[in-house]
Amino acid sequence: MTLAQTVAHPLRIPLLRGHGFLIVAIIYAGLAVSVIYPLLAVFVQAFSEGAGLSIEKIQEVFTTPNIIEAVFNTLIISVLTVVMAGTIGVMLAWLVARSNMPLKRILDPLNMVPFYLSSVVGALSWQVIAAPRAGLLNSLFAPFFDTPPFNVYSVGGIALVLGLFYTPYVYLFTLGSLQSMDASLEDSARMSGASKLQTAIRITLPLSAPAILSACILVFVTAAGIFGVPLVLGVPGSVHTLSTLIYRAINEYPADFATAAILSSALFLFTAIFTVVQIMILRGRRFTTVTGKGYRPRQVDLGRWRWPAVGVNTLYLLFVIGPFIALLLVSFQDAWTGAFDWARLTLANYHKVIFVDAIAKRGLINSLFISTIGATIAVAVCMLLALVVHRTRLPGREGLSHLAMVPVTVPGIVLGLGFLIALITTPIYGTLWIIMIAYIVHYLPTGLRNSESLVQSVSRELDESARMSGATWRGAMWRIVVPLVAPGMVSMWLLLFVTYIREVSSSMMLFTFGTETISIALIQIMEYEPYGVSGAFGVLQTVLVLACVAFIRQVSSPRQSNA
Amino acid sequence: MHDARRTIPDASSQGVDVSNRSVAVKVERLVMSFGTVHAVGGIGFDVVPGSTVTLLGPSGCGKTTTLRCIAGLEMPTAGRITVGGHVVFDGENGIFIEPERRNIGMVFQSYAIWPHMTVGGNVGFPLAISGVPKRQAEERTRAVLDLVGLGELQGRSAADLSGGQQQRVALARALVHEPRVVLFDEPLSNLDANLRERMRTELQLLQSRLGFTAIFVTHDQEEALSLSDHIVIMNKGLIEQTGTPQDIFKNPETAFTARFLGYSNVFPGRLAAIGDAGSVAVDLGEGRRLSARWRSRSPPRQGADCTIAFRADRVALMPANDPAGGNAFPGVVETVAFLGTCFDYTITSGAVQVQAEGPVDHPVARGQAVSVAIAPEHCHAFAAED
Ligand SMILES: Nc1ncnc2c1ncn2[C@@H]1O[C@H](COP(=O)(O)OP(=O)(O)OP(=O)(O)O)[C@@H](O)[C@H]1O
Ligand SMILES: [Mg+2]
Repeated sequence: MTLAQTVAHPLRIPLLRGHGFLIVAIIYAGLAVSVIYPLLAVFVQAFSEGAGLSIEKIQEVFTTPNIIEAVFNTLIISVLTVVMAGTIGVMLAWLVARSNMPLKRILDPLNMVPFYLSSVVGALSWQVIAAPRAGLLNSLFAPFFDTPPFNVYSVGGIALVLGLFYTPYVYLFTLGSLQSMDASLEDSARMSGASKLQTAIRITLPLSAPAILSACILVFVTAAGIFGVPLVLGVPGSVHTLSTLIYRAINEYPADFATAAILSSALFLFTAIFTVVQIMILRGRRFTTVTGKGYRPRQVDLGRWRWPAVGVNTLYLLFVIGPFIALLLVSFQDAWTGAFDWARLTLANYHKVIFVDAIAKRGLINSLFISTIGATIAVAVCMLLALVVHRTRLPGREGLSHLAMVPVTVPGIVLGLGFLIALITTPIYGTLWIIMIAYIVHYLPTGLRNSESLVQSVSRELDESARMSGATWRGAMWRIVVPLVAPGMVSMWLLLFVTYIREVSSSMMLFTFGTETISIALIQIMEYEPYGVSGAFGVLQTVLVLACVAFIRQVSSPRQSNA
Repeated sequence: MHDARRTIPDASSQGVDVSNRSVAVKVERLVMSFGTVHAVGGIGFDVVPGSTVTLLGPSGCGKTTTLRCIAGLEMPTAGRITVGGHVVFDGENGIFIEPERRNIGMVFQSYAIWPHMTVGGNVGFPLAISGVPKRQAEERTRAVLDLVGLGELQGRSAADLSGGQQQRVALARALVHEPRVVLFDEPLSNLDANLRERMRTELQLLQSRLGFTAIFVTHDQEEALSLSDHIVIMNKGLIEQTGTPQDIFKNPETAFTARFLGYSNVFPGRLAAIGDAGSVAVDLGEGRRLSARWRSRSPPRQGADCTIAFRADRVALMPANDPAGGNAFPGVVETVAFLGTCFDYTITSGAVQVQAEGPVDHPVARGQAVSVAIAPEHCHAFAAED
């Protein structure tokens, strides 16, 4: 078509053109149905016991003694988790970013490993070493105590495992803030007469406070909503949290949807409020300490404390990785006697979970199916959203990214309940698709943040020059932007894949016989099989995840320096 | 988001409004606001086919925004833009032609070379998009690359080109589909001084050979003066003055233009007397008075505040009390700097500090009393700036 012909049919400006408007409207509708509708379903259920609006049921729920106890357990677990993850995370981040601790290059990536591991497998491995009777440590120390000294089936045990597994969140946030800090701020404190320690406490830490605080809030709300670890470590010792009670209410016969919905609404309000606070903290302070000059902050000389610092960091890693090693050993034994025995070496457990056990096989296949297809869909959806938000002038585009961020405030178990209530009467219930949709929605914020930063890393002029060369919007996106961010999209896919493989909470609400995921299968196997078998399955999941993570690092580390 | 393929329109394409043939680009009452920021506040200008028009102005005055509106990369708030006789934007009638269908080439300030393609891939992209057969496209790519002197780089990756090479690739890409109008956003600002001058000459050669119309954005007055047939001086989203380089340089219409074109002496004053044929007398305080030419469009008013401007090289330094210096006032030489081709002086006269240039063979010493003389035709008076 020549220019002359286009003028014969002038296009309306996009604001008035049906085309772009329709696309935005469709995306809004899709997000509303998948993000808002399940949440609404939970609220409606919570307030409509029997006919009409009802407050009585809510009063009844919150005066039940074991629910009150669960609320307290949840709070205590969250607080202990934050204290532990916060202390260890900040300390390790400071050592890596600001001190001359030896072996940093090795310790830094290792400190991030728990970020990728499944905390349910972590809980299982802690069972292996600290269960009241059969635990490795307990049998080790049995000669010195009357009763087993360690009991992981407790509030403390749950908080310990969560604290270990959420330390990397605090670590990552703090590390970023410390590494981007202007060194002259600290230098001038030293020039004003402050010692190293005084400088660290009075200048460095306050400047990183927004990052640390915001990471701590993230850990706090995540711990409050977490489900897998309390299920594995709490239920055997009758220690309940809000999330395990929600699960129990659904699994009773008849299912008590009202109680589950009321508890879920309470949990959602709790997480939503703290998440909003977190977002506000991050928004106000994001750039205060970043100068972007890119020169390295000075490193504090630890002197004779250099090697003890390595010891502290190694101790943390030992707490995380040690139990995994124990689990690995157990998985190669035909029966666990409290110590590794070469005579009992066997591959039977692996044979069993890969070839024999029906649930294990189903879980593995189902999870691979859901995660492969789900991650692919999620990458496509998130890229499209990011391109619409950052590369068009369509009306209402900014609202889209806000709406897509809503699931960040919703614990997985609450979202799972929402999908359950909303879709239980539809044919999609009982299929793998409902679980896949729940995953995609739950981790939409993770994906969107990723894809937005990818798209924003490509200079606008690169695709604008394609437009000036005659390419349509779609052509410019497809031939310029997408090829440029392709390596990033591969990393994003792998990250989502790993996340989906680990997911427990919403799967637990949505699985039926035949649609068990790998984590569900693990939890079920733990109930009726010895440690060796569940250990083998846990190791399998861990190896799968770690292989993906290694691949992510491979793909994203030699990052091409695109203009 | 349209599928329309563009072919390269030839000059005989149908439906062209012949009465507008003499205007390559016509901008009328263009307004562009970003929220509360009025980047462009209602401007208009015409570009004659085959000529070079430069948008010149300080940082943030709306040059890039204007250029992007013409390109179709921004949706203007109001106004009308016509390219080659076709209306490409009309706020009132709701017309907006997508950028890919305007047949305009553009060289971006960052050059925007696609790092994931070869040099040939970058330059051949517009041809591939418009469906030119592969063989033909390759030949034309080659020809354009030869034209900009990069023939042998066709197969090289575009990821690690030097600044000058990137600039040429961007230029080749903008020219390969033979657009009638090419837009340049500060294309020379990322190059070092030597290369800049060479590229300036090459650009002019290319333009005279290919005959495209160029709209150029720069904040470098020297570049604007040497490259353009016509200059549009912008200030705070509005047009301050338009004209040929000589015209603008000789007869600035506002104090802003004068200052921007390197008039180093700009002083406030008061209109003491109004003569005929635009001559005025300006009182500079403490008894200093200069005859000047009135340049503002608004008529001069006796006793009103005004601004006077003159260039340093138009100042003649006479011995004090020399009767020959008619349009002059006394002062003392404060600083002297040798610049190779001339001397640069600062002369203090009461509250006024004058910049002056003098020939190397007649140096004036520091501390010497002089008479500062300027011919009335080189003294420009304007209505006071608000
Ligand atoms: N996308 C945008 N959103 C908001 N304001 C903008 C945007 N683009 C430009 N502006 C504002 O519009 C004004 C004009 O900007 P423009 O880029 O056109 O200036 P310019 O003359 O090209 O300046 P420079 O010489 O620095 O490139 C500036 O005040 C700028 O801050
Ligand atoms: Mg600009």
